[in-house]
This record gives sequence, C-alpha cells and structure tokens, in this order.
Amino acid sequence: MSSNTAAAHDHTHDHTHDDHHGAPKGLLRWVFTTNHKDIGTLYLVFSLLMFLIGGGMALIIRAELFQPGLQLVNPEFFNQMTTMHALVMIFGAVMPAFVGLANWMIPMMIGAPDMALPRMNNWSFWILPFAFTMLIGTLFMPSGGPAGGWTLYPPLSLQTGNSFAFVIFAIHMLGISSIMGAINVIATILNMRAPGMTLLRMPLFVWSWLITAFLLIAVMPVLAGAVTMLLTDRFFDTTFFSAAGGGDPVMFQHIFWFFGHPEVYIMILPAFGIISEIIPTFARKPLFGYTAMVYATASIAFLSFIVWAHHMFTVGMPLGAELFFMYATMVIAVPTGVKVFNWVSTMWRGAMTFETPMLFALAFVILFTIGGFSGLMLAIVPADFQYHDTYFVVAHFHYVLVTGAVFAIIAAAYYWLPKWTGNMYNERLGKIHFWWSVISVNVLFFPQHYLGLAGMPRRIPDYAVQFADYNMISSIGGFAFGLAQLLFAFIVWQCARGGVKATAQVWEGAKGLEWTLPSPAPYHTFDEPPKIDDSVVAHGDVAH
Amino acid sequence: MNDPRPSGSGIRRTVVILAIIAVIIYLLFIAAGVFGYKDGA
Repeated sequence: MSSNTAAAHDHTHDHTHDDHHGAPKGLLRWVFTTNHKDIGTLYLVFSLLMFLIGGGMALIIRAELFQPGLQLVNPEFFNQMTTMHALVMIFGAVMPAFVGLANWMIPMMIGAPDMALPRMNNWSFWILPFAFTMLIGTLFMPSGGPAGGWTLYPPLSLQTGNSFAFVIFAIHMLGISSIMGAINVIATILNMRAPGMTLLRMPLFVWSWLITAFLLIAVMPVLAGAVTMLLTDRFFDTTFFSAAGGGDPVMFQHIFWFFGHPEVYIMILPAFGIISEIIPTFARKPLFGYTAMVYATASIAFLSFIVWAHHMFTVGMPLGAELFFMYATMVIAVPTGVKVFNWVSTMWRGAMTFETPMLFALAFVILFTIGGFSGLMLAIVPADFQYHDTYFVVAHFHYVLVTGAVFAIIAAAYYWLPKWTGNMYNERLGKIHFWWSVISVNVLFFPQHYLGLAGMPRRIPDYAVQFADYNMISSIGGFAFGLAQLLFAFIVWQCARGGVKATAQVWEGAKGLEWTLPSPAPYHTFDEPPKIDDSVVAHGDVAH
Repeated sequence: MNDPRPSGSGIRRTVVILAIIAVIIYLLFIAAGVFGYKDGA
C-alpha cells in the first residue's frame, strides 16, 4: 500500500499548474460549486441539520407521550408532528445523507475526476433547501401542515387545508432532485470508471449505490404520479381516490406502496454498502463472498417490487394475494441473511479492532437484524392483523431506519471524516457517543415492541393508562438519544476545525482507491485516470 | 464499458434513456389512475 500511497502523492503534486486550482473562497463557492466534494459536503451538512430538526419533532412527540393525557400540544399539532417528522427524516435526513456520501466517495472509489454531470449535481442539491422551506413552512400556514401521516392516505390527507398544495409541490421537487441525483450516479458509474476498474472490482458501496439509483428512477415517478392525482382530487374535482366519484381510495395505497416499499430499500441498500466497506477494514480481511454480496443486493432490490401489499393486508384482499405477498416478503430474508452471514464470516478469525466506525457497524449488524426479524413477524398475515397500525410497527421500522440506516450513516461519517477533513476525530468522544447512543436507542425503541403487542395504536397523542410505564421509559430513552446526537454534531465540528493529522491510508486495514489519496483529499482528484491493479482494489476477485 | 474516460456521448445516452424511463413510469401510473375508475361504482 505504501508504494501506491506515494504514487498517489506524486500524482497529486504533478498537478499544481494553473488549471488545477484549489477551492474558491467565499459564500458563492457553495452556491455555484460543481465540485463533487463540495456538493457532498453540502448534502451532508443539510442532512445533519434536517436530522436535528426532525429529531426535535420526535422529541415533541415523545414529550407528549411521556405520560397519559394531553399535556403539551393539541392533537392536531401532534398529528402534524408525526407526519412531518417522517417526511423530514426520510426525505431530508436519510436520503440526502446517502447522496452526500455518494457524491464524496463514488468518484474517488472508481478513479473518476468528478460526477458525470456536475452542474445537474449542483441543481439536485439546491432544490432541497427550497423544497424543505416550503414543506416545513406549511406548519406556519393558517390551515397547518399535513397531519394524515407521511403515507398521505386519502380521504384523510385530502382534509388538509390549502397548505396541501405546498406539500405536494415540495414532494414533487424532492422527487425531481432524487431522480436527477440517481441519473448522475448511474451515468458516473457506467461511464467514468478508471481503466481496469471493472464492474466486479468496484467497492460494495459503489455497487449498492448503482442498484439504489435504479430503484430511485423506477419508483420516484410512481410517488410523483400518486401525489399528482392527490393534488387534482383536492383542488380540481377529480375523483381518482374517491369512491363517491367512481374512484378507489385503496388504489392510492397500492400505488403509494409500490413506491413506498422500494423506498425502504433505497434507505437501506447504501447502508449495506457502507457496512461492507467498514467491516473488512477493521477485521483486516477481504470481504467474505463479494460476488454473493452483489447478487444479494440486486435480489433484494428486485424483490422490493413484488411485496408492496404487505403494508396493507388489513384492507381486505383475496387470500391468494395475501399468501403471495406474505411468502414473497419472507423470501427477502434469504438474500438479507446472505449479507449478515457474510459480514460475520468476514469478521471470523479477523484481527479485529474496535474503533468508533467499527462499533457502529457491529451495532448495525445486530440491531438491524432485530429490525429484520420483527419485519418477518409482520409479514405473517394473521399476525399482522394484530400488529397492524400498532407501536410494534413503529418499533420495527425504527430498528431498521435508526439502528440501521442512521447508524450506518454515523459509521460512515466517522470512517471517512479523516479523509474529508485531514484530521482524526476525537476517538474518546466517539466511543462515548457510541455507547450513549446504543444504550439509549434500545431504551427508546425496544419497549415500543411491548406497547404494540399490548395493543397501543400508533399516531395517537393520548393512550390508556396501562401503556404508561413503557411510554415513560421510551421517552427517557428518546431524550437521551437526542442529546447524544448533539455530541455527534460537536465531534464532527471539532474534527473539521483541527486535530491530529490523518495519514493517507487513515486506517491500517483500509484498502481501495480513496485511501491512496492524501488526507484531506485534494480539491481535484484523479484528473488523470489512476492505474488500477490488485494492490489498490479492495474488492472483487483480487489477490490479497 | 471499461473504457477509460469516456465519451460524452455515452453519458448523454445514459441520461436520455434514464430520463425517458422516468417520464414513462410517471405517465404509466397516472394512466393506472385514469383507467382505475369503476364507472357507477
């Protein structure tokens, strides 16, 4: 690795002539930038901000649920909070964080100088702040924000006042941003790889994003179609989803979940890619079963299109359809199991160390698997009739999305921060952040399984007294978890400002093109295609 | 496909194909809504 690192240094130093300037100065740099690293940073900072705003909404929910009765907010505002918390976290925090990581890392991992479409990249990002200003702004409008849940089921969602038009417009803008981002990722990966970087040598993170981008292009237009029809139903007297006019409200649920289930995988496949980068590094072993991992990811993506109705077993559908969707859902456990077993096999007999990124990655493997198992329980039709719309579902998808997607994003931030900033983060604070998070997140979400099994419905501001104890415990966990994330924001800020200088390779076991670049990665990298040989490739059928 | 630096036309082709796919899917699902009416239901 050292010779490659030296070569990369030389390569960088060769390019000090005029046309390889550094970063421009001033605020306008961020407005007009077409540099993939700048845009990656913008996405990541935006996502952290949204994570804190969405987290604030979650704490309003948990504060109200701290004890039975109505204490802090009125029920209408409570429902606006549950709806907005989900929209902000899904479209504002998790998805932009993954796009930010893609922007930063994909060109450096495949030896490309930038994304294929840098100006569209700038546009994809700058749509987001406007969309979210509009979306969150609805909370301050006379009719209030959307309160019918993030799924926007009619007829309930159609009772929203005139602010509904702003919600729909914001969702359209988010969709356009996502589709442009996805087109950019695919065009980059298919056209910009350095010579020798064959598809089956690409890092798993790149593979997972390639597949995710295809999912995005396939399903974001479906959401756009669904909300366009909601818009015309609400404002132009169509009756797509109104039985009174010959339409069908259940059809909305089918169309929504045809988008919604792949959307879940859009939020988890890049996380799988991140974990597949981190575990080999800290186990100091190549990833076990690279090709199987690629096929498993593709299989999960394919299966995500044929399971949507498991979200709506209780609407009443033919028994044959229920059985089909139940079994198809259970089949997803097979490729997911392949992934979990491969991560464990990668660690088997490895020379493991437990720096903060590895701790979060390990927590991901264990806690995401718990979320997966509760998903299997929900897939069983007769059981789902009991669990549907209870806190069991809330517990399930928060294990998948918080200890799954969010933990992977945090792990990625710790893993690549030294490459981005040139400084090591504070390892001691990182470990405190990890233990604080992993304990509090379980205090927060595990009791919700019991609440759901005991029959507590989701999306209610008040509840029967028998649910009081577990709700109080859950709320305490929620506030502790929220506080821990402020520590995370501080650690990131501190690392960006300075610290112990990072080496090019950063982590002893790290392999891959990005680690041949100096830390911090220069503003322009791989202006000339790097030479790819087995020694710089982390994955695929290569000698180690 | 493993060609080094790439052709602008390759990128252009990728973008055009993907954009057309996205628009077709959008229209397809609106069409599903239009034809999903059950007249007189």
